[in-house]
Amino acid sequence: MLWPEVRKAYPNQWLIIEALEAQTMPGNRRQLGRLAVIESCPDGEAAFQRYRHLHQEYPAREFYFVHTSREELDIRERHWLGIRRGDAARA
Amino acid sequence: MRLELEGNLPFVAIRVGYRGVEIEIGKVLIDTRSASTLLSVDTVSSIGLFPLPEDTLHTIRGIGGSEVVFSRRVDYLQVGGRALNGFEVEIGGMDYGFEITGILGMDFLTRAGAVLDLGNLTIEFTGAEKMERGALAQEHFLDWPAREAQLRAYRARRGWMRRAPCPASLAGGLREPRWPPDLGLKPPQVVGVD
Repeated sequence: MLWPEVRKAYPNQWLIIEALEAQTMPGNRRQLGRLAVIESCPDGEAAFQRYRHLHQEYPAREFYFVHTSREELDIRERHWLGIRRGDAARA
Repeated sequence: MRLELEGNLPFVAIRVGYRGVEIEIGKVLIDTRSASTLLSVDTVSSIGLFPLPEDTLHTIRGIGGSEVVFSRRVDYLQVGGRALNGFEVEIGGMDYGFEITGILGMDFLTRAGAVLDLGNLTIEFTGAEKMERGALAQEHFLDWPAREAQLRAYRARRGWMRRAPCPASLAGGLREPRWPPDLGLKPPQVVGVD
């Protein structure tokens, strides 16, 4: 499904979606192509916690928490090198 | 403001205000390699920072995979004596496998004019002082009557504090504390204010 179709099928609600196709455009915009709807959530907090859980379980898959009131998905990409701790052995 | 070293990484405590409520967040990593500032959702949920339909999402990619976070403008973010108003932070799960409540990134550090002294483990804001003074001066010229009233009220408060005698029970036989230290200055004359 594309985003306009998702909006039509699931109007005005929080969803967890998975990007099946996505690319990063100039200006660090993440453009999503075909999407799969994973589940519907009662509010933003629930959607976020659900995303968090799914992301930890399937770290390689590209999930998002989104509300279908949005006409356009506005997703920016940025890079971060992560944390390299001195006491990593204790972690 | 003191930095805490843990695992040889610098952490600091910050304050965040959102919709009139403030929380203090300890153990925020100072990271000059991070472009933006990120807070853990578990920490800021107590002040009602949850995703809203209109939030912009950021996907953070790097070593160890990616993470989707949402972005929100808070009332202010404060470190030590320096606060930035209307500051935009990212909020995410931060499930990195160890305890961390946030990352103070370059967006805050540069705008606040932070100076890190890693020998003495402190963070100061020398540039900030200049900015605040500049802002104060601007306010001073733009709104002179209001500024004047503010100054009068401030002086009146100080005058009142000085006139209040030190209670004998507190003084306990010690010599009367002298504040401000004697610099040969006369206390300001307060005119027309009770």
